[in-house]
Amino acid sequence: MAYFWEDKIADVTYTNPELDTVKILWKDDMNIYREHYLKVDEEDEQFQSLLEVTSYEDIEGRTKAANDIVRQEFKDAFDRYAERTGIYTGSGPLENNTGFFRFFSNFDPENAEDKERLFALKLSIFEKDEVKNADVSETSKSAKTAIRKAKNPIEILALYQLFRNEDAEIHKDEEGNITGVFVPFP
Amino acid sequence: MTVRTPIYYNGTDIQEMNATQINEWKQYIAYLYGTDPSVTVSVVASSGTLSPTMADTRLQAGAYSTNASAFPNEATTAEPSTVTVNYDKVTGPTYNTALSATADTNNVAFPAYYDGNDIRAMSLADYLDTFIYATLTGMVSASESAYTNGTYTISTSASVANYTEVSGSSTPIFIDTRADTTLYTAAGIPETVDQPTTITSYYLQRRSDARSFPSQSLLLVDTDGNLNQVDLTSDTSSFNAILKNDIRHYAAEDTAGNKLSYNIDGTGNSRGSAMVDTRLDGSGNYQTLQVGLDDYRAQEFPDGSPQTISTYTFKITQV
Repeated sequence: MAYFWEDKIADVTYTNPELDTVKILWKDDMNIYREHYLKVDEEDEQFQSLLEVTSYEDIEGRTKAANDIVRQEFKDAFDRYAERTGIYTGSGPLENNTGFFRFFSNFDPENAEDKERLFALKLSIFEKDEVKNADVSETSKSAKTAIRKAKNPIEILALYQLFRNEDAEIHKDEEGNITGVFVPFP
Repeated sequence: MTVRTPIYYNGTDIQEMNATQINEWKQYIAYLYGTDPSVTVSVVASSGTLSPTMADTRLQAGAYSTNASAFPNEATTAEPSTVTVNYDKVTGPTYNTALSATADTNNVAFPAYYDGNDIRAMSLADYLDTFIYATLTGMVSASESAYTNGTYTISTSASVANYTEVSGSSTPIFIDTRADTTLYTAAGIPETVDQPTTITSYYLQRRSDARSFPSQSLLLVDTDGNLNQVDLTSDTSSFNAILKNDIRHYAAEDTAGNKLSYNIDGTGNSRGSAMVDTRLDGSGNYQTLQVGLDDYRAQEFPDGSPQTISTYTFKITQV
């Protein structure tokens, strides 16, 4: 049995902030790199086979590395532009963090920048030791899945508490869908 | 369900086939199916029946603005917009229902097995479970091989070893395009608004491995009680013809949940690569150009990072 990409994978990364699709970069017999896409679906045999040769953590790490390169390229280009046009004028912490505050207080799911930040936040949470090294349990598995599917930063931070605060509780409806997280104050 | 272990003659004795030998038969049955599949999916120019319609979206530049005394500002310059191209080039599954199941003539139509006491011919149900249904189950695996001959998959290359490109003319069933940002320049304002580049083309392929005959013959009981070896090296020998007829018949018409079917984003196992629509996610790259003393132009070009907007997965299942 075989897949096009079997034993030929060069890289695997997520392709969107929703983390619901992965791109497998593989090299064919002519040494040409080809892209192969898969929906993140643990019920699907092909995705299960992919997880046998890689892991969510690995995909997240590779995605973060790829994004870091793109982000740095963009930052360098912007810095050059800003220097050239005199955009940097210096300002206080409030002004410097306006975008950061708005991201949490007024997240816009249609805003491309917000979507990218959300994506980066998810990857960053998965890099945390508490998450990476969490015991495999129903709660940790559910929490990781919910983080992957989270639609705003507050959900992500609430779910993150499940790995940091042992008194935090996950709430689910009758169908097993996560409806919220209770986080007691320390 | 009763899966029997067929027997064969090893030159000295009669013995039961091992798993490898049985799998050789399943691969061969899949090969026979692949020579003339009865459940087909085809590539058409438009109005394909395999839903849903798949949309390729991309950004295009906004229309350019011009002013006689100053550059039109960004707020009044048209934003990039989305171009959508719909693909519905896949039709199917189409079932060939002209075939009939083979009857258990004289109760000796199917291969022999050892029941612990006697050598017996398999019943129709045994034969179906052992050969036909087992092969059909292997054919719907996500993982593709000689066991999945005659079934379909999606590739990102028109030419793939062991596959036949279905359209016959390397016609993609879906093309993911994005705006080619390198083609938009301020000096070129007014730029053509839609300047796409192809990112990935997706092709419908049918598995078509070369034939490999099994290493051991099955045994058939005749009406006199004799055992006869099935001809190993002819697709058209009487029993191999029965196998071909039945795998094709049951693939298209089985009523016990073994019929083959295909869909996009429905149930079943993914086949090949999912098809993704990607698009740049920027809000517009505002550029200006002054031409002479009274022609100030502005235009917003596509920009941003590519994001997957939609993912379409071709699947195979049994119904």
